[in-house]
Amino acid sequence: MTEPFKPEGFLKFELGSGELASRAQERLVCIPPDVLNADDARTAAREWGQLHGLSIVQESSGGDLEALRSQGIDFFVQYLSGVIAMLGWGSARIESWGPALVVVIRSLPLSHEIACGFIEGIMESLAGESIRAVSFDSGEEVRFLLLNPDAAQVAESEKKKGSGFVQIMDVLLGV
Amino acid sequence: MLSTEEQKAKLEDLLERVQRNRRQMADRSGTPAEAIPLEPTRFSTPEVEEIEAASTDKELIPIDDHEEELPTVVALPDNDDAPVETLELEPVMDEDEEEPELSEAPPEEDYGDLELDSEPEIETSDLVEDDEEMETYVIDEVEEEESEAGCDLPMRDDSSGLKSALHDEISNLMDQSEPASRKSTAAAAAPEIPPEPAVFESSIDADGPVAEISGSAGSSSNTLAYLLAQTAAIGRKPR
Repeated sequence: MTEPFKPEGFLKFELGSGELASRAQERLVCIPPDVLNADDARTAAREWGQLHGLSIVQESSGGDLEALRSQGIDFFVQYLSGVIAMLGWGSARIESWGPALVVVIRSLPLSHEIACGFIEGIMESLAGESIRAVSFDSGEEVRFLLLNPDAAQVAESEKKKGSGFVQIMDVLLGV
Repeated sequence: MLSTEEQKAKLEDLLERVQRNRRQMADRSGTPAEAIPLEPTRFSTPEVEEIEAASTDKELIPIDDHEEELPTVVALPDNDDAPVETLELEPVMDEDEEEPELSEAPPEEDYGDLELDSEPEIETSDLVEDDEEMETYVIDEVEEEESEAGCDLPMRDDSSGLKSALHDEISNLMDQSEPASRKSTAAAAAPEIPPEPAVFESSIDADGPVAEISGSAGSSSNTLAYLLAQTAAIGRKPR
């Protein structure tokens, strides 16, 4: 008894956990070949993220960037977490620590570099200025602190010294 | 001779006074007690949905009642031991009293007050990178508190001695303020941080369009533009 191939159910999305799996139960992620094959994956991912940022603007406000920017952050997070989930990257949320915005992804299945680049691209397409993400691994979650490039450089330097998120924020805020 | 319960009540009262005095000093100096708010403001999507992407109708099938998925949003640390280590009164606990009580109550309500200069991040450990680093951070903070406040709280079971030490600590705190260098720097550079963060939540309508905007959409201090500008300005010197 043999059966023909059936495409139904081959891919399964779980938006809540942001996981994409095949029928064979292995986890998958969506990454375009331009990013996978790039020598500088982060830069390629940033360019890819910029495209998604523009797509979010188009979808959320008909291309009116200022209309989206004037919305509350809770409006935007639906798009960001939706995109992250549909790519199979995990479940995302945004945290606001005082002035600092932090994107948190739970159960991220890929390298921080690609995720950093992608988030940077989305955010800077909305911010209108360069944004860099500094990642902090905390068990099942990865936090991406969004900063300007200079501050991100300081944060990366402090991170290499072993400083944690709070200590780095103290340094950046001059406390 | 005071009973154990009476001693404990008095100690808690003393600690409350210590905490209150520190807050008053922070208010008088205009210096935020901490640079980071008590908890992060979280923006999350609690909905749990499942899509059979390959199906022709692309129908969205809920896989579960998603209300209980929220705990994954409020991510508690995997390791509950480290916050307990921050409780400086641990040595004076009544031996008969059940220790789990320390971790059962909300840390913001009860145990935040137990630290002389509590940083709830330590207790909620939301931003701790990993367990090992979290312990390191806690130890650093305690050491910093001792050096800054100029007090070494004796950790011993002698409750009368501890009460005496607490009285001394109260006196020290009444007379001392934070180092001038730190206070002036923080007052000049640290942005204002609300003592209690607002929490915003939104949901994804799995059919596509956003069903409803919740929270404070459109309020000036929480717009995407404002928050992006804020985070991009971190570390820049004021002009």
